[in-house]
Amino acid sequence: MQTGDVGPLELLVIQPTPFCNIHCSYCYLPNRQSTRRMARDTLERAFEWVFSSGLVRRPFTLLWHAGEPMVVPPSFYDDAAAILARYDSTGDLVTQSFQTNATLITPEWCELIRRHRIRVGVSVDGPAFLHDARRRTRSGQGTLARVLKGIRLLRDAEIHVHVITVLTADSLSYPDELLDFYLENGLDDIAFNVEEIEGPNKTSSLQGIEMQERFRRFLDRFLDLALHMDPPLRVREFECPAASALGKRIGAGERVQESKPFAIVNVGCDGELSTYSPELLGLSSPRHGGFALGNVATDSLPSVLASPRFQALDDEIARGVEMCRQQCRYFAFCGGGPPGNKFFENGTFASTETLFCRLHKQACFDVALDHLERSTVQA
Amino acid sequence: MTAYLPVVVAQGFHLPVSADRVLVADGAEWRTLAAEERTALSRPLTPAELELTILLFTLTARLRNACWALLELTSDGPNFDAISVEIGKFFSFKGLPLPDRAHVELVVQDASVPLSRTVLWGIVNLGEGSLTLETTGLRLALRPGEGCRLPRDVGVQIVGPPNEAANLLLLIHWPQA
Repeated sequence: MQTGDVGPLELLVIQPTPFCNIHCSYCYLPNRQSTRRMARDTLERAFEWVFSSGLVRRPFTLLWHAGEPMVVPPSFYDDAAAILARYDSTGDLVTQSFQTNATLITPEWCELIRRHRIRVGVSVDGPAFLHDARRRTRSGQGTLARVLKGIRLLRDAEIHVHVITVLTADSLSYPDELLDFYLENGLDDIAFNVEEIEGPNKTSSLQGIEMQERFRRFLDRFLDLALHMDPPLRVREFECPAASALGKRIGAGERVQESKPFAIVNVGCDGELSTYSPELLGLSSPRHGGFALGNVATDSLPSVLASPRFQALDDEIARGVEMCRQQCRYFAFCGGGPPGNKFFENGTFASTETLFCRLHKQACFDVALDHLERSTVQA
Repeated sequence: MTAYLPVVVAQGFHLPVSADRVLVADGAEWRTLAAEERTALSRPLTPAELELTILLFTLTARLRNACWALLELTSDGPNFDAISVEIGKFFSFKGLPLPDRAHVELVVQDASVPLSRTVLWGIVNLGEGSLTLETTGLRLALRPGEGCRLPRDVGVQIVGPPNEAANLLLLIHWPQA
């Protein structure tokens, strides 16, 4: 495989630190207690690696994540912006983004976010009885009050916030209460993640056949409410499936972002490199070894592509995509389940359906399509 | 064997349960809940028990605000029929559907005058203070936005908040025969 056969880069995930200042019960990060930080030299090498790799052939998103990005000081991101400017002098190529728990936001962070036009995604699970049940400090205290303070600071600074809410079994009874929560806090750009089986999170409260129906009922009710607001809320779990339904079908041999080699590049805080699902960074398996395929300090893209480990991994993922194509009626819209979920749930990338597929792909697609059809009939 | 009180928090609703949420008749006095009685407010019920039990719930802020907007006569808001339909959908999702042809009524109560009703399916406190709902042997505190579904033919007396002149109630009636 040659450099031109992989990418182009769509998403660069950089881990400034694996550390997270809170301790959510469903977290997939394996080293979130580690306080290691990415050195400036490593950051320089990471950008040098990316921009000299031949992967940058279109604009891409740089996501600071895989640990709480605001654990490192704002000056880290000023340094990063200065390095980035060498490669992207107009600022048109790279869109930076934080995925944060928002508990550490200060006016200084807001200034930095505005200065570098960084997009902000906040993780918040709804009212206190839902959020604080799962998203707690290491001493067991709920974090919602601090999150809302952070959101208020962002909104006061006129920074657009989109939120990601992780749905657990408990959440599925409360679509109306979640809507109330978003409206009360001025949040109008919503995404739902499902509690996934990933890394250290070995089980999900959403396992079990009855959860599929409960999930569908939840989403149907939430969309009924959110899409009829004036103005309607943006809900990723409607917009993405609707765009898939109305867009181009995915054909044989095509791969989508998470299963396409080097469409995503993940760089750990010590410079270790991986591709495919970001959740694989920092993890290993007895059969595959570490999912890190090299290091930005020592390994070029051609050397990674030539390595037996990458080739074995890519072959297994490609077989999994082909299995999805042959067996799943949603393939033309989905393009195959995320490799990370397949590995964590099925033990192999060469597999098909997962809990994540059943809920976040299939149910979302069916419910969104139903709403799309209803709105078309009403129109 | 424990004799459970005929009141629980309805499944799919979240209400804080403090000791003074429910008062129990104790001779001529009223007592707060014991710890096990408080725990039992979250117990699951069989369908037969459900029919005989008061189910506590909370109406969402969105629906409460819609009722208030109606009173404030904002012309571009939904009418009461539309709000009633939305309320029905909400309870239906929660697995607590309103009876067919149930009648929903918005009532401004003189808080100093207790209101007695015997054929209510349920009641919601839309006001800004806590009201007291009294039935045989029990006094329930319903905070703003909270309500309850009543067993059929159980008579209740509704006492408005002590420091308010008037209170806004949503009464849900069984269909008339």
